[in-house]
Formats: sequence, structure tokens, C-alpha cells
Amino acid sequence: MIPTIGYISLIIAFALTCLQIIPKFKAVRLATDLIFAGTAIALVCLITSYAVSDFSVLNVYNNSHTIKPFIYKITGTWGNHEGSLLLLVSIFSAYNFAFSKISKLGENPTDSIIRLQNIIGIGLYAFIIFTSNPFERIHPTPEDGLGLNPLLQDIGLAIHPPLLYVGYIGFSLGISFAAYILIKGEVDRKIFGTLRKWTLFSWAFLTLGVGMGSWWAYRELGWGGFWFWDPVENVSLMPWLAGTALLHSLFVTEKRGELTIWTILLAILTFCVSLIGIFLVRSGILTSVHAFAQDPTRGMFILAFFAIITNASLILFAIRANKLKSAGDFEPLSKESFFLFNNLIFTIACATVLLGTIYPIFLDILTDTKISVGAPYFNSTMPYITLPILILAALAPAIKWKKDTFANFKSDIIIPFIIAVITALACYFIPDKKSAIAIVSVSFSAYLIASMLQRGWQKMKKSGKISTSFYSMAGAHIGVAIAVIGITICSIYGIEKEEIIKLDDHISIAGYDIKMDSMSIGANKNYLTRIGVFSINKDSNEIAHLHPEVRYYPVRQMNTTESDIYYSILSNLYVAMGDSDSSGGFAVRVYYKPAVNLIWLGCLIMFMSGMVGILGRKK
Amino acid sequence: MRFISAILIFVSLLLIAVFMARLGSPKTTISPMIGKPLTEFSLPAINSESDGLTSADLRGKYAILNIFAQWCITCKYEHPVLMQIKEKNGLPIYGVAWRDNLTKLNTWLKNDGNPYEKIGADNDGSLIIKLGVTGAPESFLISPEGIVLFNYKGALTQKVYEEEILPLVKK
Amino acid sequence: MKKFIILILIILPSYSFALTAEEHLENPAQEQQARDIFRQIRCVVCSGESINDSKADLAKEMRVMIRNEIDKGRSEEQIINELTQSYGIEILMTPPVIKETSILWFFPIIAILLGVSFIAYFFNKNNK
Repeated sequence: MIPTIGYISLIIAFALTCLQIIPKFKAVRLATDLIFAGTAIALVCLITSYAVSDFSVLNVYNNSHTIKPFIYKITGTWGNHEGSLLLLVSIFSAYNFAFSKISKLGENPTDSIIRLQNIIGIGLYAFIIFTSNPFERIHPTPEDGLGLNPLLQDIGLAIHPPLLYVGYIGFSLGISFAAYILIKGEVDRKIFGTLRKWTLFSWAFLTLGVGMGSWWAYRELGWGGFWFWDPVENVSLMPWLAGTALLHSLFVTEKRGELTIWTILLAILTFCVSLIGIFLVRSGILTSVHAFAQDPTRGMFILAFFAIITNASLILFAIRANKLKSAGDFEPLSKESFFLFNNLIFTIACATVLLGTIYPIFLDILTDTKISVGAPYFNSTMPYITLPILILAALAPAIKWKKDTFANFKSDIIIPFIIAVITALACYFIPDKKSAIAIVSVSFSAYLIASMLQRGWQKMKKSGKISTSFYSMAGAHIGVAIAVIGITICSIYGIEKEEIIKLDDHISIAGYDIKMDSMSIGANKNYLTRIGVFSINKDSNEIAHLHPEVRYYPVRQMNTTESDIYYSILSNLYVAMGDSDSSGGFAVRVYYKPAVNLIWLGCLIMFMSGMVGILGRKK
Repeated sequence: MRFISAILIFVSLLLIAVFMARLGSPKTTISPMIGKPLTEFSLPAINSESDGLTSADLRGKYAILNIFAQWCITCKYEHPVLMQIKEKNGLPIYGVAWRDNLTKLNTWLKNDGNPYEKIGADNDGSLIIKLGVTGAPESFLISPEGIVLFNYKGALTQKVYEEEILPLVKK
Repeated sequence: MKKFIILILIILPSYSFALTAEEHLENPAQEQQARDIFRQIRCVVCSGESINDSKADLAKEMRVMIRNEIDKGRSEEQIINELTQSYGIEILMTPPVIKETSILWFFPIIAILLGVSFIAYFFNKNNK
């Protein structure tokens, strides 16, 4: 009954979406409301089917199990291809609903943009209904389901898809705005301000989503690694890079009417890159730890969708972009110029990630050569491309629009420069390991943080108050600098040790002493576990106990390693336990991860700064 | 403007073409071992009643080298196909038992039938790695001179045997 | 109940997808060299992980084999060469710089140079 209601609601939403693009159809707002309601009902129906373990629904059968903890039954709704698509399209319809209610652009522009959105909507709903129906049934109803991968039974991972989707499906508004602006041919600059708020919202959530995914990987996968340049990770990073460029470009276009064509193009490309991502993940052409579908029909559908949207927008751009030419009369040393370079760097960064991700396929098809492109490639290119951004971000706020001279702002750079040099020296002398890239990276970040703080202080001195938009900008920049420091220090100065130890043996690492106290066995609802108890000592003081586990999930017949982490203010001690050898020793890996918490802190600050930026702005 | 759009459209069409090609022909790994001589090896037996397996055993005839194990579920699907090849006097099949529990292995072969002329136990995977094997089951066609002619990853089927392996034997 | 659980745990396959207890080489320099090689070799049954980090059985077997080879005195180059003979260059974590990967390796720098040239040209045009 409930699945049927869900399915019918979805069909109704799809039908209304199709109606929206017919010019003669006038009830745009009403349809938007109904589409949102229908999609929401469909999502609730699917969640309910999971909650009650209705195994007559194929999707529930494939992905759930009676002994799964209740919260994971619910979140399991979107831990699979069909369910996650339903979530995606629900968020999409929510965006359109919110946009129709909040928009102050006027009735016609708002309606037009909603109609454009629905072109995208048709593709999404059609994809679900025709190739990925979550409400497909099976007869007879099985007794129990096939269970869910234990790796996915984690709260961080459960929240991360919704956050990501709010992120990159939100960029659809960008392309619809762009199409509208191109068709109209000339617009009031205010529309860019509106788009900037929507983009900021999506961007903030995408940042949080990427951070959350990284935090999950850190705790669950691999050995305290937080980024593996896995294709699925890259696919969430590309829209972030393009989206950040878009965000900055929108600022210039809104305030000065400059870089308009860049902005329009970035709006188009950000969403197209999101679509490439959806294709890569769901078509099965890139095998990955967490890829979904392996069905070529689905792949073909998404590819066709991507082809249509991308080429239609680019052709529209080719024909109409020259109507939007900006004056372009700014000097090389000007705020606009810095933003221009910023656009360039972020775009190249995004393109590099895309190239690295698809290059193996590209090479295989064209030359029959098979290679792997992984972390080493990205780690040896991305830092060099992106580090200059930190300096641009530090200087840009102080530089004047249109034309500035070095003399004007040279006094501003003294203090941050000194702080950067001190940081560089600290980076050279304090750690045992000397790393040039670490010194550059950390000192650049320090320069950025110091510049932001200095500017805030200057503003305070001058007018006694700081605007929310400054808090937002400075906060986001400080956030990214903090994250970069965390990434750098953790990657370069982290230490790993692996030993086979028996009870009461010690491992020492980075001034910590870790002793294996005991080993015990337990069982939980859907897994069996072996738990080790380790005590952590520093300077002869016992400061913590850690309980890493090795779990066995009978339904899926797989083991997982549940590491345990000692969180101190800045660094983490990460202990993972493995199996035993024939003489009763256990394999134990210990990682010292300095400053790793800064990464998540940076992401959180960026997210909050984004939210402040939206809430604080005058309408 | 047109120039940049043209480049972007070209890139997007290129991407689409490459992706379409990939969707149409899923990734297959051609083993780098093809055309190269089979490495010399000598593996111990899986029980005290039989001999082990050496590379010399495969010389002088076309032979299939099959990597398998009783812990590998797909191998169980492949097993009847191998039995059929043996029953119909097809190419001789030599087995490499990969990191297997020999007791369970012997029991399985005794109960379900043994399609292999000889079996060697590769307990630490050293031969497997030399052969570039990525999983069980895998099969190689070896020429009488000891050259690797063909590699198949996954469970061998009658179709693959007739359409891809046998044609190479005539050459 | 507890006895039952212990029995289960003993019977369970404890080797798949767990950190395995492997013998390290006694000579620390050799063990370090082994680790360095592990980080360069991709785990062929995983996605993107090196055999240093992978928990798969095949990865473990490769690690054991590589340690043996180091013990026998083979050089890093020889060991890696042999692996690429068996598995192809896709087993390397870092793609080699050969003519087929030239676009991959040179794209970032060329893109930046082109981009900066375009911008310079744009500023030049404006100043006229």
C-alpha cells in the first residue's frame, strides 16, 4: 500500500514537471508546490518501507535486514542507488519550492527560472522512474533482507549524502539562472547577488558534506587517511572547486558588473561537472570502494542527460554570451584582477582533478594502454596549483577595485609577512623532518590568517564595527587556511608504526607509550567482535584507554576493522588492531596524526561562515 | 567567446564519446603475460598420494593452467565446466590451488570430482603473483613450447573454451 | 553463550580484510625499503590503495613476496620491474612519464601558462 502511494506520488510529480516546461502552462507556483509535496511523500513512503522492513519492496530487500539497528534502517534508505536518487530529487524539488517562495526577483524571472529548473527535473525524474525505480516489488515477499554493508552503518556516512546533495544539486539553480540571463540578454546586477546567496548555501553544505565524508573515511577506511583521491571523492571535490570559483566570480559581477562572462560560464560548468560526477559514480565505469550501479543502461541515460544539458547550455552561451560583455577596464593590480586569477586557478584545479580521474579510461579507449592514476599524481600536482590561492585570498580584500598601487597596501603586508616568516622558521626547526612544501604551505596559510585578522582589527579601529559580510569572508578564508595547515602537518609529519605485540607489550610513538592490556570477545545485534584494550601513557601518566575492535558481520560475511582514536586538542593517536599470528601475538598499527583535527575544524568554520554570509545579508 | 565555447563543446563531446565507448565495451584486462614464456615453477603436491606440479609438466602439448581454490565460490560454478572438458577429452587441465586448506580441498575434489591432470599447491601465492593473477578463478592457455597464449579472468564457460581457447590451439 | 562465541570466532575466517600479522624483515633498513616499495605498488583488487594500506589477501601475499625478494638481495628496481612484467604498468601507483601520459603530467603547467598568457593579452589589449 505505502510503496504504491510512493510510486504514484512520484509519477504525479514527474507529470507536473513535464507540464512546467510547456509555455502555455501557467500554474507554475502551484505545480512547484505539488511537485515538492509529491516527491516528499514518495521519500517518506520509501523511508517507511525501510523502517517497517517491508521486504516486498525490492530496494528494501536488497539493502536492509531485520537485525540492522533502527537508525541505520532509516539511513539505509539512501545508502543505495535508487534510494539516494530519490533523496537527490527530493532535495531538488525542495530547492525549487524554497526558491519559489523566497525569491524577490519578481514573478516573471522567478517563473522562468523555475521552468528552466524543470528541464533538469524531467531528466532526473525520468531517470528514476524508467531505470531506477525504488518502489519495484518482488513476489513472494522474502523473510529477510540481504543486509547492508557494515561499512555504511555509521552516522557520519549516513549524513554525508544528504549534505553533498544539498550541495551539488543546488548548483542547478546556477545553470538555470545562467540560461535565463543568457536568454534575456541583459539583467540587473542584483540577480547575481541573489544567485550568490543560493550558491553560498549550496557551497557551504557541499563543504560540510565533503568534510563529513573525509571524516568518515578517516575513522572507517584505510589507516587514518582522510583523502584517497578515489574517483568518488574526486567527484565531490570537482563541484566544490568550480563552485568556489563561481562564488567568488559572482561577488565581482554583483558588485562591479565585471567578469560577467566568467560568472555565467562558471555557473554552467559547475553544474555540468556535478553531472559528470553523477555519471561517473552511477554508471559503473569507475570501480570504486563505494560506487553504486553497474548497469550500462543507467550509464547511457545519465550520459545522454549530461550531453543534452551541457551542450545546450554551451551552445546557448556561444550564441548569446557577447550580449553580456563587461567593461573589462581594470588594471592588473586591482581587486578584479585578483579575482580573475582566482577563477583561473580554481578552474585549472578542477580540470586537473577531472583529467586525473578519467585519464585511465581515456587512455584505455584511445591507445589500449592501462595505467592507474591515484594519490601520487594528485599530490604532486594539486598543492602546487592551489597554494597561490592562499596569497590571493590574503591580499585581495585590501586591494582597491579597478586600480591600485603597491604603495597603497604595502604597509598592510608587513605584519602578516613577519608572522609567515616566523611560521616558516618554526616549520623548519621544530620537526625532525624537513619538508619544503610543508614550510611553504603552512607559512602561506599563516599569512592568510594573519591578514584576515589584521584587516578585521583595522575595520574595528576605523568604524567600531565589523559587518557580517566581512565575518563571512574572513571566516571562510581562515577556515580554509586552518584546514590546509591540518592537511599539511598531518600528511607530512604523521608517523606510522606497525608491530606484532602480545599482551602487556608496549609500542612507543611520538612521545606516547601504548600498552596492550587485554583482549576480549563480544557480540552485538548483527556482529561478533574481538575488542582490545590499550592504555595510552604520556610522560608516565596514563591519559586514555582505547578499544579498537575487529568485527565480523555474519550476513555479509565480512570483517571490518574498527579503529579507536585518542583525540587530544590538536592531534590524534589512531590505533587499529588486526588478527593474530601463530604465537599469540596480535598485529597492531599505530598512527600519530598531528593537527588532523584542524582539517575538520577548518571545514566547520567554512560552513558556518557560509551560513553567516547568507543570514547576515541585507535583502 | 565563441572560441572558448568551441573548445568546451569539443571537450564535452570528446568526453561523451570516450564514455560511450567505455559503456559499450567494459574494461577487460589483457594479461601482460600473453606472448611471454610461462615462468619456471615447482609446486608441492596437495596430498601424499600425488605429485606436485612443475612447469615442465605442461610442456609438449597445449594445456590449460587453472587457478582455483575451494574457498572461492565462483570456482564451484566453474567446476562442472572443467569436469565436462575432461570427460569430453578436451585439453588437459592443470590446477594451481591458491592458498588453500588442503584437507578441505582434497575432500571437495574427492566428492565432486577432479578435473585436473595434476595439481600444485601455491600456499603463499608466489606463483600467482608471477602470473599476474588478480583473483580466482583464472585460466591460462599454454602452448607446447611453454608460451602463454591466452588468459581468462573469471569462471571458464563452455563458450569461452570453444570460441576463444580452442581456436588458438589450431595455430 | 560465551563458549559458543569463542567457537565461532575460532572458526571464522580471520584473514580476509583484516590487518594481518606479518613478519617484518629484521634489518630495519630493509624493512623500510620494503615499505617504500609497498607504497609504490597498487593493490590490484582494491580501488586506489597501495599494498601498504590494503587489507586484501593478495596484497598481503605481495608484501610477503617482496620482503622475500629483498631478503634475497634483489634491488627495488628489479622487484618493481618484475611486478610490472606480470601485471602491467597499471600496478604502479604513480603513472610513469611516458608519451602516453604526457598530457596527464604536462596539462597543469601548460594550462597555467596558457591562462596567464591569455590574461596578459587581455590586459595588454585594454591598455591600448
